[in-house]
Amino acid sequence: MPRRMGRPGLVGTMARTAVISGTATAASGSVARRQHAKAQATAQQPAPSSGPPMEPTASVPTPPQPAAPPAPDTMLAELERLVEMKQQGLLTDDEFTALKARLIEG
Amino acid sequence: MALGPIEIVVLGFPGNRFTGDIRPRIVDLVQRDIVTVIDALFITKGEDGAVGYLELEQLVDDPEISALNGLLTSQLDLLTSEDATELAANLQPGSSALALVFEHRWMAPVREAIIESGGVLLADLHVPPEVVESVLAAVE
Repeated sequence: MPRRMGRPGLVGTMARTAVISGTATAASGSVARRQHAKAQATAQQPAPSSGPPMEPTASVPTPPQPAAPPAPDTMLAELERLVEMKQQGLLTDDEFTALKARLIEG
Repeated sequence: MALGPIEIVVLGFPGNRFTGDIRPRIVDLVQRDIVTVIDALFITKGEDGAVGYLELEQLVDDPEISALNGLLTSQLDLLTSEDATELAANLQPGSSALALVFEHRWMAPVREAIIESGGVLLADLHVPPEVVESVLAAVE
């Protein structure tokens, strides 16, 4: 059953983004809490909120920058796009995390 | 693709049989376009605690579950094997559970109305039942 392997799922993604989006309570179980702690540890490294914007490498398409903080459903669509791009190998883990953080912070 | 709010429910049943009124109730909600089932996974936990999963289409010997499979409107496979392990956290060894991913369709017209009126959805939170209970207990 390879179709459910090797990519982010709903629950895992929820646990990983919990620290930023405040959905921590939506993820349940001890594993979620552990992942939450892990996400917190990694999410602290890339903080592109202030300072110079991240330099995209030539092969990395930049997602459209929303003018205002995106509405939740726009954000979801953008997140889905990022996930897709990461799956296609267009984004590295670090780039994905940084772009995701930027998207969520608006 | 714009989806409505998504909710995952994991149902465990005595004797691992998915019976009773649950399927007809879900069918009813789907037919009235209140929810759609966008993914589903049958999660098992062995006596040794090992977590496995099956697609609904593989569960041919359970007519209730096979019938639910017909309700799946997409094959997005939003739940992964990693998710199955996570969702099985509260599952007893030697038992199984049905994970359903619902899209709340009823929210779509509300959302459209919000957008058309120039409004902004500022928050949309799912409150876990434990939180509701503890707040209610404090009120009493």
